Amino acid sequence: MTDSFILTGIAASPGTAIAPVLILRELELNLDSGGGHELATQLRRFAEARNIVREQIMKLREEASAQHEEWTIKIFDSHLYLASDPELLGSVENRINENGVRAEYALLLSRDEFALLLENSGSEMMVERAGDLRDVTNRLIAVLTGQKQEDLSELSGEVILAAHELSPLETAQLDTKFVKGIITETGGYSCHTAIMARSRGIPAVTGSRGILGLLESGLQVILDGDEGWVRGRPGEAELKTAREKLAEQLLMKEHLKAFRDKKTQSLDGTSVNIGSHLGRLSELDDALRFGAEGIGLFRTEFLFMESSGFPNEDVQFEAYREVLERMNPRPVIIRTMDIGGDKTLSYIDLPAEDNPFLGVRGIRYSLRNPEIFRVQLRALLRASAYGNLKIMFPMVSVPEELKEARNIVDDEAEKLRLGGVHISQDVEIGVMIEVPSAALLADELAEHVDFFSIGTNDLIQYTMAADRMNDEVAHLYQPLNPAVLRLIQMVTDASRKHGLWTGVCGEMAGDPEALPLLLGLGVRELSVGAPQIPAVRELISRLNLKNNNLKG
Amino acid sequence: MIKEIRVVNRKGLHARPATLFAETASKYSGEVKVSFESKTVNGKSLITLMSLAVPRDGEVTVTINGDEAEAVMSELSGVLGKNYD
Repeated sequence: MTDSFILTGIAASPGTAIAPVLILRELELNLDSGGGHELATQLRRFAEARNIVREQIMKLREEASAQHEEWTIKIFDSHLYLASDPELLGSVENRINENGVRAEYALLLSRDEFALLLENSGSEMMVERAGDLRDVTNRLIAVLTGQKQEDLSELSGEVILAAHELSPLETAQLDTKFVKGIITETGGYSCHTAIMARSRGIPAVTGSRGILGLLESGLQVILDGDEGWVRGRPGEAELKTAREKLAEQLLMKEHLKAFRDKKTQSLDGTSVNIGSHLGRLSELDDALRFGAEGIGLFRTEFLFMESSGFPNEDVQFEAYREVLERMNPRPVIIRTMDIGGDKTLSYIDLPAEDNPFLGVRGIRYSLRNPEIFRVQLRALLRASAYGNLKIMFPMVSVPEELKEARNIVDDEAEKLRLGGVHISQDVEIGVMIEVPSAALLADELAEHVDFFSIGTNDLIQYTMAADRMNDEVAHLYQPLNPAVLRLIQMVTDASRKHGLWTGVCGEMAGDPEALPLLLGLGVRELSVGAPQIPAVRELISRLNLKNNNLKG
Repeated sequence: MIKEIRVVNRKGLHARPATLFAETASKYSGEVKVSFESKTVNGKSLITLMSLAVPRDGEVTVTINGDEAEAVMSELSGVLGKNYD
């Protein structure tokens, strides 16, 4: 027995878990690569393994079918097909015939060849399908080499799963009755494991490099998915704290379930719209599952950061259309690209700046590079025909920037209309208020927009001149400081005077202390992370907006 | 027999329609080829079909050799001509 230890990772799915670890070992792939084996034997072994694996998958499919898990059933259908795919079979058999290698080695080479083909197809979805191909071929290799794989459908006690990484299928199969937490060495906040864990409410820590070296199956751990750490061999005091936190979370979870599908309404019947942030298309399922009444902040940077050059108009159009169509008729607020600051692109040369957060970022970059800005605006306007689009500009400091940006929008819209392209007549244009000057000039900005969206994270940071990631000054990052609240009030006052509406995106929107103040000032639209939606909705249901009292 | 067919599915020729396509093509003894953007693959292979990464509204060229080509073509057109959400 050695000492307690703690390892950190990415807080991928909130909640606490206390349970023994179950390690899912990677398949041993250090296979015999020698030739000269008898062809007939290898071909027969391959055929027998396929039969066994097909039976395994059929059995899993039946279980999924009994549970009415449509998504999993479809995956198993394609797995059944992959297990007998003619090109895969032909490729493996050719390798056996030509080189006399063992069936499992031939399979490994063919697996990698075809997985690469899918991964290089340039489609994010096909990269996931490469994961399916690996699932199936790994099953075959496990049978051929006599390796026993942990069967996740046959768990009998509570565990916290730990793995280098989990395949989409492994994640989908997780039985929430027994799987209390997930730890992976790879991945981040947006990997498929994180997304699935959040939507199923399983606490998870991802990207915890090297953690498997410290864990062993059966070892007791505490996992904290809110803060992103795992503690091995916890002491009594640590266990007590974790158990209390867990009990509280369970109570809250039950209570909040009912708030997923409700409309957001205060105690005295005032409607509020709670939207979800969206950082990637794959988070859309989360938004819908947690009952988002819209997308309050669609950050488009992922489109630019995950490609090797500026994505063309059609690629952008497809992404915007998908979100608009799936959310329709709910509103989708799309922020034009916020490049600069800490977000740089590999394929452009941003000049080195002494103060990137006070440099070329957001609308400043867009206005300096109109040819790039116009492509995004055209894609947005074309997509507007498919849903309820609102466009907003980030990092505006003075009205002139807003006027210029609006002129470009009007110009592109006019060109599209003349070209016969159908675009919505109802696209609202808004401005993000995240620079103090914008809040101070809200009255003037109001003349050029339909709505304000207060980006509180940056507004607080710029108002207090304090970086919240810097421990030495983080105490000055004060959301409820009167300086910040006065700026917010200037925005809501201007909004009321000009007949606009005001939303808030940023952590303040989900903060129980700040929320009553924001609503009291007249904010009626909020954007939070999808899993936070039920809790914010529940809180609002207890607020009396006319008197602004919290009833508990 | 050769025909150009537009992929209607919102996510393109993705897992579900590709599986149905390969299954349908496999019931047929003749050859089924699918081309998209200068690549041609075996229409009975789910893996190679997916590797084409055909997006929504992509036009694929389907080539069928053998008897009953017309009936198979119409069945395959049906698979590509609808959405699978």
